[in-house]
Amino acid sequence: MNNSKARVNAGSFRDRDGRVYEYQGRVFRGLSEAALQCFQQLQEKPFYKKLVESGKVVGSRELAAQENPLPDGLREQWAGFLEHDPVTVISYPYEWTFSMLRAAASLQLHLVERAVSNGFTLKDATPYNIQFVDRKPVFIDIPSFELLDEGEPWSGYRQFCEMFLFPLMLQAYKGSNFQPFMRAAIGGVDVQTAAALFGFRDRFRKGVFSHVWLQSKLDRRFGGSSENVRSSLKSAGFNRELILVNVRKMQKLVKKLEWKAAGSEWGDYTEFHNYSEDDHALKEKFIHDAISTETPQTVWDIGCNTGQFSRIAASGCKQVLSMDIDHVAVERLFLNPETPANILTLVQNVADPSPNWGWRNRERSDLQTRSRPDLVLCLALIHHVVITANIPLAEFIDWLAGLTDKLVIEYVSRQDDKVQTLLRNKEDKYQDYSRESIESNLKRHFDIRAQQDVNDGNRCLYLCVKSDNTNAVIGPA
Amino acid sequence: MKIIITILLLLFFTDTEAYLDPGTGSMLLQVILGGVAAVGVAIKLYWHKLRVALGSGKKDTSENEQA
Repeated sequence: MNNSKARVNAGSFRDRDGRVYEYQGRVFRGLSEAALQCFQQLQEKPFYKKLVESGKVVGSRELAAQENPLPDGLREQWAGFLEHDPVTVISYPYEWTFSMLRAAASLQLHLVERAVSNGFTLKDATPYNIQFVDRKPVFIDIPSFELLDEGEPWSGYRQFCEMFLFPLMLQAYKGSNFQPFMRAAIGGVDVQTAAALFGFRDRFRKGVFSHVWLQSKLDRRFGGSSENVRSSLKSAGFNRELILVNVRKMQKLVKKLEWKAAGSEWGDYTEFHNYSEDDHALKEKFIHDAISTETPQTVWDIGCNTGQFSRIAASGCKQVLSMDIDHVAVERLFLNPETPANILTLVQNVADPSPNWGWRNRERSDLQTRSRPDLVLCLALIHHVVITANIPLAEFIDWLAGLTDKLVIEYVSRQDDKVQTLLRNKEDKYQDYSRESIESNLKRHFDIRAQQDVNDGNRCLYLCVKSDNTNAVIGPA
Repeated sequence: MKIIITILLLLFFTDTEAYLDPGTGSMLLQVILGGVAAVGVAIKLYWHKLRVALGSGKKDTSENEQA
């Protein structure tokens, strides 16, 4: 982070009542007069205090003018400022698993229920307002709370459907991974798209008839209406009890949504690897030693699978990002009660990673912008990158060298049965895939500080630390 | 609940392809989904519309005039 200049959060522009700034490692939010007054009322409410105390809402405090460190020009733009407790790593819903999105949805509904019961409401319902801290969802967008105008409907209902409910239903009812939908459209799965994706038979599944089919019909019928439905509802006596009825029904629906694949079909992941016990112990010791000697703060485990090596890393560093292309594996790691709190689980494909996108391509950023690893674990992954994803080995090592100064990487030889499986129906054009090749490419950027053969030499682990004077060419030649 | 939905279907569901605004239909759906608790609101809402349609009721001042 640039400490000399306040950096405006590029994703916080939609609400005209506030803007987020990052400055000297701290997080501030400028508020309009109306939003400031609302916060001052909100922070006195017992329901809000309870939400903050229980960790469901991010800790925030209003800054007195004399303690505001932001530059004068910025301070003058807003009626007041809050400071928020910082979130270690920002993650996005298209990087979450089913249960993470469902936990976020449950939190959102809980907040609406608590707010409406106490004369407040939440003006929107987007998972981007929720972050995972110590594996639990935390709501971070304080100005989303506003005073309830009695007679108003639940203004975030439609957005809740599009950004929480429909993606969850796609996973639970259709078995379709929701992440690509969330990454395809910043607003999630819109009502008409959901209606097109759910067929006639799906209308008999819980919630589909009303929230998908009926909503899409009403949407088409009344979309062009010039009538002010909001005030019609108010004069017809719409009230907060109706919001609460709908929110509680939605809570029940979300609670019942289950993704079966995570629990059954995929077999026992612990038998996924092909190591003997001795070899497995060697691998664990190598990683343990690497973490102990290199003392990283932040570790990325790329291709974490069941997360057994993430756990070793987590015991010796501040934060681990455990990522894998396999939604089921990441879901299991998230759900495992033994997973340490400092592991953030993410569904991520190295060959097709989270992009910079949204408004001006800055609204949502790639993972490297949000987190920088001090050490990367890249275990039993390189064959998938080079042979499955067809990424040249040299280019992959270049990318890793641009990402981290310290690397633990495992080479999986052509004799390994996992590599044999990948090659069995492919024309072998991977001349760059060899032990000599990986070692020479690593040496272009790193010093190899330690190495360990496992599985009779079919696999080899390397601990690499960036060398002082590399003559590397980063990126494609 | 079912009766309300049926009335709504009969009254309003035509094959209109309209410009999609962010939530008019979604707001009305909240009345339908409200079930028993929303019956009074639904009746008031559509009684008013019916009177306007028959010319015996005043148009709500909060409603926009048709262009």
